[in-house]
Amino acid sequence: MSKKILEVKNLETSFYTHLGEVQAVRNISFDLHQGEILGIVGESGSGKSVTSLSVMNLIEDPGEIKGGSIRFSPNVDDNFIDITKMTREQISQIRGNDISMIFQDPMTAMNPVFKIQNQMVEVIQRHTDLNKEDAIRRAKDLLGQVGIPDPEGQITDYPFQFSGGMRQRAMIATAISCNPRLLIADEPTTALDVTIQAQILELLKKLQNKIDMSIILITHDLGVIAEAATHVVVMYGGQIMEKGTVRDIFNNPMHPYTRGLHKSIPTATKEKKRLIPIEGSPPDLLDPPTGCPFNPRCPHAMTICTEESPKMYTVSDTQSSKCWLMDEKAPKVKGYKKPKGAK
Amino acid sequence: MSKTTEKPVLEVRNLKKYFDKSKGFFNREEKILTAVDDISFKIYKGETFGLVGESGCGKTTTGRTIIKLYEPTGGSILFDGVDLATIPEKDMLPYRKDMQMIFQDPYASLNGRMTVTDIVGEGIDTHGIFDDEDDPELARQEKIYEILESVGLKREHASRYPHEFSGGQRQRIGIARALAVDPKLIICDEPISALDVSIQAQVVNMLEDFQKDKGLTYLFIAHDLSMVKHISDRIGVMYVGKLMEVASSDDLYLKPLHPYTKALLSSIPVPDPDNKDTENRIVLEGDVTSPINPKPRCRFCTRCEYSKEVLEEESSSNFRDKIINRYSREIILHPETHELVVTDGQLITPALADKIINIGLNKITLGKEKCFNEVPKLKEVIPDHFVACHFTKKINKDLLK
Repeated sequence: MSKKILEVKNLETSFYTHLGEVQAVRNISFDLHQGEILGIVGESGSGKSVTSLSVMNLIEDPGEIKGGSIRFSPNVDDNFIDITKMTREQISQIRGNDISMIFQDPMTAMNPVFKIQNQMVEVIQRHTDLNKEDAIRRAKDLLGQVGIPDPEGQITDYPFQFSGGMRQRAMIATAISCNPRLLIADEPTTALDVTIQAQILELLKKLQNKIDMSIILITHDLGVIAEAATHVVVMYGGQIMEKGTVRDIFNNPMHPYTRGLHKSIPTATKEKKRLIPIEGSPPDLLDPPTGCPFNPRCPHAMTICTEESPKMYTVSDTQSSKCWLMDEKAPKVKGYKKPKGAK
Repeated sequence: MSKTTEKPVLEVRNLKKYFDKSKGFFNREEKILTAVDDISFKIYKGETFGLVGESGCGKTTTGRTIIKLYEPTGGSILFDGVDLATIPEKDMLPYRKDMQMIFQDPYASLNGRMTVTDIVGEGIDTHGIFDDEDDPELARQEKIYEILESVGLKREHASRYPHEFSGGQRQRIGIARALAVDPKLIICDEPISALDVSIQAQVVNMLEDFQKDKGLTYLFIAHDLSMVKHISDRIGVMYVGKLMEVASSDDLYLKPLHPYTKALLSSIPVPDPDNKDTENRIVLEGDVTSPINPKPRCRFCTRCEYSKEVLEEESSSNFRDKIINRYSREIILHPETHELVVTDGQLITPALADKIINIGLNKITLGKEKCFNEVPKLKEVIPDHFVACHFTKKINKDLLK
């Protein structure tokens, strides 16, 4: 197995509003290894974006990382540092350099009054010793790498002169300008059309291979996950419901929520069948249900599900599920195979 | 089953909707945005007609022009045999009762100062549906309760305001509002795009149930191709204001004939990690062409794999003559300075032709003349399957056997 580069342990992030505390991320843990593309999938409000912002240490007032640790290894030797304990200066050395991020909406993520060139050169010069000329050359080279047809001529354009797909390419070029070890892509294709989405996903996979970075890919689209991710974390109500390799999650899901998601989406290839929705609606994070956050909508909910939150059960070497059905004392439910020697 | 014998509920003929984006008073620069440009299709009773396309292709404008939220620039909209395009705004009211709309954004489409009863009841009042009843107030209230229950809301929700509901519930209120006046046709403009994945299926199932129970006809506008395939009987594919292909939903997905449809379908991400089709994926180059002052040619020609042809000539003067006034389909950079000489889709002027010759080229990929100089018409290639492409037969030899 390749080297671990990120270890998130018992992370808790909350926001304090006048209505009370919103527990956006509740006690989540996951690891990321070099060269992996980790897909975080979940609905709006499930905590997937807050997780990524926490990793970047971008949570600001009224939000706070309440507990847990985010250990990241910025270089090849296994020197882990805890991002939650870093000062502003320390973190700004890491951000943009070792960890960088691309956002959903490439229009609002770029400054409209500066040329693409200035914005890219600023990032490159901030993190390297290149002089301006070399930085411009590097920026042009990067734009070429991400498939901008005429980098020489287009680098002096303003963001509004680029189409949505081209802007997202320019964002990616900026994000990879310092060869980060970790790229966080928060819904990078949601604002784009499917034909452009295909181009961008292709590009991310190509770059990941080429510069051996790891990617955290946040999306609500299971199709995007299946195509791009190697590993998957399924989030609901601020918690991780299930995690595993992409094949575990798609071929052998072991959590009722993951299964519910699979059944509720139509696929263009399969025959037309009536969709099976997940009844009810997502939980209110101001007042989350006691026990498992999915219990009010779960078809298999038992008494214990409403009383106590289950632990993360190990299903296999690669897969785990946070569901009471995995417990050895739980009744058998068709389709759910309890792991042998479940702990 | 051939549709030709049935009578359509809605027939759109050569519908056009242009927006004037001209700038300046002096030195006026004519800029016409052709959002919907000469499209025709029919929708039959009880079916769902899906309209798909990428953002900016004119699918929403089509829906809004049909219900005459926009005044059409040209063409006719035959609804039950009456041409709505000729009916003045003040006489539209009775037709609006039969045609309702569900909007994309359940947050923006409901008035936050009105209670659910007022929102759902507004149509009933406007059209005076219960005016002949003995107790119109009571009949109205009963009808509202009945509809709210049928969309999965409760009676006690009637007195609440929109902000008290979740996105999925708000969309149910939007649907209740459309159903309140017993319409024949509902235009659903991206009704589920703003909803969470687990809620989308609830709303789609509900729309399907209502269709079955009330014999409703839907025009379903969306960009989510999997969902459109799921809900539609027939589908129209739009690209920059034009209909590219119209077919039954199975036909379209199994036998896409237009190059754009082929690319669009192959870009849908499939939720199956073992799916091997992605290796044969057609990844389109470039971006969507602008709908402003479009040239008289196929709207897809600058991105189409099949609009290319290679020209090679030994003699440079012959080469020069043959490339002038043609369109390039490749990007040529200067071998030494790396400066752009000609880009994909650019017209080769005499000056440009000289530049190309100067760098010593005698071979170039050009756009086919027909694709670049003539707008293809939507033609019935096989029964009930319409395609707008000059080379449909040539590029689909295998599929058309």
